Amino acid sequence: MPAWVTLAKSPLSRFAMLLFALGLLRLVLLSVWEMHAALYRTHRREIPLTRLLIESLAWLFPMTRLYRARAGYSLASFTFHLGILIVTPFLGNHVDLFRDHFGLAWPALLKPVLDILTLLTLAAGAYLLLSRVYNRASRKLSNTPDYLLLALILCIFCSGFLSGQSWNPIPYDGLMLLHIISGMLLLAIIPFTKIAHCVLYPLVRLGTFVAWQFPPQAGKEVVQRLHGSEGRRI
Amino acid sequence: MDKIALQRLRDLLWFLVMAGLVAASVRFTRGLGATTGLNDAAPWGLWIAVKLGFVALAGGGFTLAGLVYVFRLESLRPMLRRAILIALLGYASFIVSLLFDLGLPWHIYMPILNWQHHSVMFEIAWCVMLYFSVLGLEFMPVILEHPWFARPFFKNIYHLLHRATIPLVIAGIVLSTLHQSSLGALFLIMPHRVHPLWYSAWIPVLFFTSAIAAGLFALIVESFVAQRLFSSRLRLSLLGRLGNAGAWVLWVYLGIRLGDLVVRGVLPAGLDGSWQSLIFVGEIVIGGMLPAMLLLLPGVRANRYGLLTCAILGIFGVLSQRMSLSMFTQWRPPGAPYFPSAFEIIIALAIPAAAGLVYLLFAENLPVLSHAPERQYSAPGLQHAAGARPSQYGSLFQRNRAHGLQRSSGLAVVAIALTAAFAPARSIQGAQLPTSPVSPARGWESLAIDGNRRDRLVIFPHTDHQQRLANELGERACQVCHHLDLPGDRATACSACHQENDSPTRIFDHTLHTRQLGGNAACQQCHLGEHRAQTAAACAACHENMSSMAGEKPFQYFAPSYQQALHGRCLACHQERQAAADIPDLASCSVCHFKPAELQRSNAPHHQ
Repeated sequence: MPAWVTLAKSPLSRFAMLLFALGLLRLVLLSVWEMHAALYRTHRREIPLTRLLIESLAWLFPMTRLYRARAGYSLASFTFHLGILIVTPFLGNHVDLFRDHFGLAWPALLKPVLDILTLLTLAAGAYLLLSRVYNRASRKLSNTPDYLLLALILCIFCSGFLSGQSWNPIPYDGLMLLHIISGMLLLAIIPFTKIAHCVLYPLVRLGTFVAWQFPPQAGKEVVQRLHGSEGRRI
Repeated sequence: MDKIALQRLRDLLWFLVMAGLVAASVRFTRGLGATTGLNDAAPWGLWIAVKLGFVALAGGGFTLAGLVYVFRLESLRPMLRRAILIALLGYASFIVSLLFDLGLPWHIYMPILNWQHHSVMFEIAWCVMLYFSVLGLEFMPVILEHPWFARPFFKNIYHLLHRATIPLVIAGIVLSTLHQSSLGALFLIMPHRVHPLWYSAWIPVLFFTSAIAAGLFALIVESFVAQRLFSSRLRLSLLGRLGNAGAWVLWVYLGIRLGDLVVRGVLPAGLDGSWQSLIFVGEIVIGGMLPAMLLLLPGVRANRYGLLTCAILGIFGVLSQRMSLSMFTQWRPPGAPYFPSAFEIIIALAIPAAAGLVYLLFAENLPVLSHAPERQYSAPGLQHAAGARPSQYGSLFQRNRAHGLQRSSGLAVVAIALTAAFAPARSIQGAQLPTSPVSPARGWESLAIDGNRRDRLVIFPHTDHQQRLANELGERACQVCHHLDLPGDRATACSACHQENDSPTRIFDHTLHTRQLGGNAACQQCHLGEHRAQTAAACAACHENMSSMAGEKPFQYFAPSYQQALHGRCLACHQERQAAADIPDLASCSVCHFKPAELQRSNAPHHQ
């Protein structure tokens, strides 16, 4: 058996997948719990759920805000996310793996379609990486994980794409080993990095809303903390 | 209070408990066979040994209760509550681990209904139930002192329990005396299993005395731990007295133990150099005589390190006796070795870890370590008296709780993922089929086919079949049976591909094929379109000397098992001909599986 098959069947890959699933579940439960606790303190019960839902959905499509600055960045980001969300679950080989190991199956997309989508994703990812480097504001805001995570995702897409091409100059087994290692690494670290937004996104608007609710008399306490127990008139 | 040490200890215990949670769920869903190294020949293992240890460490409860309430040694009263807490946790651990060890844990209540007067287990079950209840009642007042229970209803219960203290204490002493000794009595009925150096008619007495010593030593160790973690007062003179008492009890235990060995004349076996004798000597000298001797010296007792070391040594000696007796030196039939599985070890660690967490919880929140509570209670409304400012939101307590939740849930995720991922395949997927390598058929004109070498031969007239088929098919006759050949070979034997008698064999080497065909550029030679297993071409498309039989899939990763392959190939032909040539019974079992008496070996080991 090639090394990558052995690795993919090893406990290590099971560990990565369990970390991924349990870690994300933990994040969701924690944020729900914390929101509940925060709301409980503010004595506020009514939440504008519909408005928050519409806002969340609207933010899914940054095209609606293209008139703002950095239209190219928004477009690239959208393409990048779309590519990841379509190519990963609907690739025939991935569908086969899921069917064989979990007994779940769904139709796969045609390979030429996925190839084009993969290329688009790679281009968008490269654009995102470059704009992080060359845009002054982005560069100042970026830290090491931002670069490394993007590079890791691009590495997974590159190796996966190349291994399916007949003109690929790199040995197939080596490429698949790279694909498996980087994929496992990404799965394992997702719950501990900013990519956790893949499950936390629906809660972001809600969390922001809750965070800006204050308990009654909160202002007074802030003044007390800042200026001593007497408080000063503002 | 050493907050960092406390946090680290709590993290470690929590990690173990979460790992144990996975192991427990597997044990209760898949059963003992899938999770433990036990078998019918070695039915008692690590869990029994650990369980005996829990009970030994719990011995301080009844000892101290007796000393304070019956012998009126009031100076020992400050140690009483922690002694009862340790006993309570020890017995709780015992009961929880009993649930793991019972084959049908949901039958644990059965001794209440079915009274088997002659069974030692019956006595043990009743004593454990009753003594655990007594311990719970003895400890209840400590819980009821918490401000949560400030209502009159609970106060009444509190006073009631106070009035019932003496009867409870006496019941506790009687029950635990019975229980400690009857645990030992369990081993009286297995003289053939217990090693002679540990077997004794006095085991019940040995268990009882050693539990007193171990319980006293456990109290000493606990006092040092509490002093380190919670800065509780270390009463060194009091602990010295406990150590002194423990030493005398240890001498009594050693006297009975060694005296019995001398009387029975087994003592020389303790010096014969076998590994059992090494354990024995270490246990008696390092875990028995050494601490018992040192603790009689006032200088050692007054020195905190001396006292702690001696207490740990004494506990080691008692635990070693119980674990050797029940696990290490037990006789097991040859060919049935026992080594605890990973899950057994995890659970054996997780149960005391859970008890440790409960101990930390109680020690922090209840007046256990001394009669004054560790955490200052105050009337509602003045909760933030010390240090913290009054605040409704973002208070210190709430932030700590949120932080603790994140930390503990993160640890839980890692512990659960680690345990579940690295769990042995046996415990997740159940028992695996043993491998059954095939032995090739022997002979030429007639082949003796016996894939699994069980001496149940099938005599296959090879040349006879060759001639019959050659008359019909000419050149292609061989390919009817030899349907796939190794490269450069003709008429490869069945056993070359069908390598297992009972399970399929993986026969396709993808790496070899890509390498031979020129790397990635060659994908399209076999895969039409996408690179998936379904799109692969049949072997015969390239390998011209390979023929596919009707009904066979064009491409297969696996060759079916030897038995399945041979039955399939022979029977298909025989059934066809039975119908076509009207030969009755051509496809019946006895055509091939007849019994040529001269070919059957006599005294065949597996012959039925």
